[in-house]
Amino acid sequence: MNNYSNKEKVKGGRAKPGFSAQKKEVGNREAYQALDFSADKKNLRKVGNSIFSGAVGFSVLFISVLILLMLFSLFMTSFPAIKASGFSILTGMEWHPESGKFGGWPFIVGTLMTSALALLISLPFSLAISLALGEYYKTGIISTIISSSIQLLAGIPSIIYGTWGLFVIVPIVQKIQMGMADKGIIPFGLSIITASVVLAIMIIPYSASLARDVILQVPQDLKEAGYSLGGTRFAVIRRVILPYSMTGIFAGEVLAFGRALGETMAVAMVVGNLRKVPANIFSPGATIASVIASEYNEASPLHAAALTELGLILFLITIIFSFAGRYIINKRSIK
Amino acid sequence: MENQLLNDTENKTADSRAVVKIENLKVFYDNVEAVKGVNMVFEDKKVHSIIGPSGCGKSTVLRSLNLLHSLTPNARIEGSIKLDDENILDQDPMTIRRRIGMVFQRPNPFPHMSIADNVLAGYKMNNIQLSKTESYDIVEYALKKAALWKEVKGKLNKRGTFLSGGQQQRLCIARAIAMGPEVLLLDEPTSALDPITTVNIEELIMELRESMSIVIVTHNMQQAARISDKVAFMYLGELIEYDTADVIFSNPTDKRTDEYINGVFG
Repeated sequence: MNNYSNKEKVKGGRAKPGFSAQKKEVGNREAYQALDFSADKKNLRKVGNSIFSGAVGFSVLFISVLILLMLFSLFMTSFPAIKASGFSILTGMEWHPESGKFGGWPFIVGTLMTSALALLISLPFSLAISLALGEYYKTGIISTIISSSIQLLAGIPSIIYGTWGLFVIVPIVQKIQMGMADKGIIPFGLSIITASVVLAIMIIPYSASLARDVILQVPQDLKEAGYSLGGTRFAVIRRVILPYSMTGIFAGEVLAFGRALGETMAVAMVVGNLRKVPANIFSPGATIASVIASEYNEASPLHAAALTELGLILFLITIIFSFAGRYIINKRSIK
Repeated sequence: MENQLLNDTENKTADSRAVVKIENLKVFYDNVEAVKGVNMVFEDKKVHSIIGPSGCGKSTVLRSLNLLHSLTPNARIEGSIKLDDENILDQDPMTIRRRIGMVFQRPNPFPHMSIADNVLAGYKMNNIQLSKTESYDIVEYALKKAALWKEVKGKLNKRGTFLSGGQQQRLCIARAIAMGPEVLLLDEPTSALDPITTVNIEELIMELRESMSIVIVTHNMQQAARISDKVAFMYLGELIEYDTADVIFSNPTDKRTDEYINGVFG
């Protein structure tokens, strides 16, 4: 019987293996069938499978559509402002809603300035923390203490950071500003640098935890190769660990930068909310997020549309930076 | 070699009969004794193989020669390892590692560095400043010695990870000998490579033997027979027998050596 079916298949041009292989296959199939899969169970498995892949597909689609819808609704809401003044919000220097002037440049500059400064200030700290956790204290009590404080840092509400900034950072900045009074700087305490310092502390957890993960992944044999050539621990960190994990560290910085761009409450409390392009880092200024937060409630319809347009710009800035970051990561990554 | 630095290293390896003396070496991981009082002597311009079943402590002996045990927090070491009559266990690991180079089981060139930078990695690690011509000379010298120069001379600035496995391992050997070591340690250097590449590496080892002392850990008995002047057989942390390759492979004194070599266990 077996012989017959085998011939059939050869004629059909399908079963290439010889008789014994065919028999073995049958044997496997029999063994498989013997494994208590009743027809019901098989069907159930099939249904479960398709439900699961359906759910996965739907979620993916849902998120993508949601982002597009968000962009679309932001665009629609800001349409009155776009119609009134075109895209001059991107370049206009003057923000004066009372007389219908909606120039968003001061806020764009303020946003980029605070975020970039915050990144610069946080970099040495997050690098040190990630090296401590990824290289020096991988396990043990010190590691636990550091990493749980970092987690705690990430969990503190933004308003607390703002308040703390007002009571602690603002007086310090005021003192510094007083020393620079001859340069025409008024000691408000509220300034771009104040916001940057607060922001820097807020974003440390994001960059540090990602950097720690990549530092932990540096292969042991590369580190050993470094030591075997006579390198000190510092040399191995500098010549092997940091270059090897550079792209990952960079990814963490991009993530942190994204967080800094959109941070609202803490920044609004300490940045000064002055609607002018900041002359230097010690002058007060405003960011896109802070101006939206502080003006939206009392805005006229056109004003509100202009604020939404600013929100759209912030959205686009965030997207551009995240894509640029991704591009660089792909291009520079090792392997 | 018009380069002063290279002349120095060449002379150094030629003049001093680099002799490593291991005396009563014991290595503990926590309280487990992985190496139980081993005595061995490695001579200049000879190839010494350490063979034995997995877990017999042969890699541990090799790694302690490079002082890599100090990277393992729970490792403890007793006894002495003398290089030129000075105990290296008392000395600065950084200095010793420059004199005793190491090549690892898996080819591990630095993936973020070019081929040339990989060869010069030891100098970079130690912050030794080199002029352009010096660097080029060292790269050429080391790659020629590692029999890799012809294959890579046109792409010295490309990353080392694009090379084949055997080429990568030769790059690692070049990286180790660029520092002009007196002793070269190889930890199963061909176990991740195909047979033809293995033969190439073995030929390379035979050439390097002319200018330094070589210690190689291997699982491959034929390899040990092919390249070694002396062979050490280790079992359960003990040195069972240490003699010339001829004696070990044709007329071993210990029964365990005989059994291991003839595949009774291991």
